[in-house]
Amino acid sequence: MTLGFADPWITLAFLLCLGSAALCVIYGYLNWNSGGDAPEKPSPEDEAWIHEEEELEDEL
Amino acid sequence: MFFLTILVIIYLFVMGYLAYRGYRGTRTATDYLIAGREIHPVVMALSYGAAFISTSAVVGFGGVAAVYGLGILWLCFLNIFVGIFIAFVVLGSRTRFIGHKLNAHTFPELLSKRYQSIFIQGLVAVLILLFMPLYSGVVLMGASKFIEVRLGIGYETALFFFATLVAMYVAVGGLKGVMYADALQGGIMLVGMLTLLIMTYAGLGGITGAHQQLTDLSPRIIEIMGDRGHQGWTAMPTFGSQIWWVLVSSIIFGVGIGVLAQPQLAVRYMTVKSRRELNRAVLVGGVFILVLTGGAFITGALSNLYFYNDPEVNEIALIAANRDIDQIIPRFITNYMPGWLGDVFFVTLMAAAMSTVCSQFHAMGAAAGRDVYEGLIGSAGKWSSIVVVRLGILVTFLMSVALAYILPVHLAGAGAAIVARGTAIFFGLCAATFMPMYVGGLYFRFITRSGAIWGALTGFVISAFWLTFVHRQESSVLLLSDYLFGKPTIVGDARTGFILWAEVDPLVVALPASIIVTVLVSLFTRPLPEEHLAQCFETERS
Repeated sequence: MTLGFADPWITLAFLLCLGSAALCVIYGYLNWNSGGDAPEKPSPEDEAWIHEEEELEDEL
Repeated sequence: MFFLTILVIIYLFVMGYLAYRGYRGTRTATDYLIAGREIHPVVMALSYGAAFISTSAVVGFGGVAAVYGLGILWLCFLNIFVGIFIAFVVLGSRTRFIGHKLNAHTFPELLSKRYQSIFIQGLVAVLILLFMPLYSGVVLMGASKFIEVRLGIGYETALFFFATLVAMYVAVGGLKGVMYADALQGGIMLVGMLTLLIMTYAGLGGITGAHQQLTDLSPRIIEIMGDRGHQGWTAMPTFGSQIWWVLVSSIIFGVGIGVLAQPQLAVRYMTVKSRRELNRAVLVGGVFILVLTGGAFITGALSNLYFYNDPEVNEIALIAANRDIDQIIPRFITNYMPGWLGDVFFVTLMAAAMSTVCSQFHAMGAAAGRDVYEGLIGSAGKWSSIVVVRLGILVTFLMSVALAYILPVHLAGAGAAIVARGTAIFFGLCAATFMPMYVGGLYFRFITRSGAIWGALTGFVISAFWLTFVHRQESSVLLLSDYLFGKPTIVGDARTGFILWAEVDPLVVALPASIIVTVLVSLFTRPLPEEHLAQCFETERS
């Protein structure tokens, strides 16, 4: 199946675009709940980071 | 015109409202991190996508697709696989982890704290301030080109109009990342491009039928560009030919890989709550990039059929647009799509430009205030850093507008894809200069401060040299090679096997050199203190 393209390299690129988007969808779906729950409370490190980020955001 | 005005007013009103809400009540980055407040991963992915994809991708690279053909779909593949999958799954969580560990808030600061070097912070920030205006300039240019054609006004007027709009938006809403506003922009872009793609295919009788017609039209472009290696829009150019090198080394490789080291995108990973949110965002991000870049590229290539089938034009896109590649997409939409779709697309492109420009100025403002001023001058400075941030944004904004004004004048009619080239140059510079120390810093303990610095300098110097003296597309415009050596490129038409030196993108030479120097210097210089490395590479919890 060439999908109307003259060159198999283009057909391959076309299919890889669809395939990689499908990979993203499948990966996202399968790992929807993996990677750790967000902590109930940010850690002290994260708290410090948030505080400083807010200061920077205010400047901008 | 009436419909367009109403659409633009509604768009501006909603954006203004969201920016106001963001200003009043919520802080994008930090809100998201605070437990108890959930931002849906769709919102995170759309906002990232909106910053990633700009008018440059749609107008600039869509125009490139109209000329060079669908080989550019390899870039679409890399944008999804590298720009989303690798970026989120591999780099994202490490960037977030180390960024929080080291209390880093900007890209230069992240690198500087990882390598314990203020010099790195200054170097990276200065490079951002010097070269990012080129990228923001071509993004402004892409939007202005569309406005020019759509409203039938002069380019300068369109640029002035759009630059004023951006300035007003930034002045009112600030650059505080308002994730909901970005996500809305992303949503508009997704709907607008999907509609355009469907209408384009529908007008040509379906997917395979459209591709086949384009294949059948190929002799026309081969007649014009066949001697440079063009083999039709649905075939890759001849291996090793001039067009092959432009397409593969600059457009596909340069932009496809360069996205990993984009300062304005890397900081976004730090604002997610946990790795889980990144995993979830991959789902939406992949589809978003497929539709936006794939849609722009396919539409661009197929536009040739619309121009050619129009009895009044009866020419391929490049000729129909008077060799102004950046005008192809605007002309196609204005002439061959229904008026309402043109209006919707007008807003789509405004959203695309606005979201990217804001993320760029956010990065440049932070580079000026936090990295250069606070980082290098510190408390010794007389001004408050807010003044410096504003000044930084103002100066880089003026630089961007000036470039958007000058470049088309300077390169008019030369058949140059200015928007795509400007983007590719910036992406290539970022990759060659920042990538080894950024990716290396996330994953390898052995890379030393000296290794990082020498690697970055090597990447930058080689890129600059190659752009100025070797790579014909830039060296012939910069004229320094001509002035010093009496020829547009010092390598002339030299060829070694399949390598046509004057067409090899700087990245192809500079990135490997930068990686080699980073590794070699690291092997022979003093490693960073063990306790610092232990802190950076402590096991990630989430």
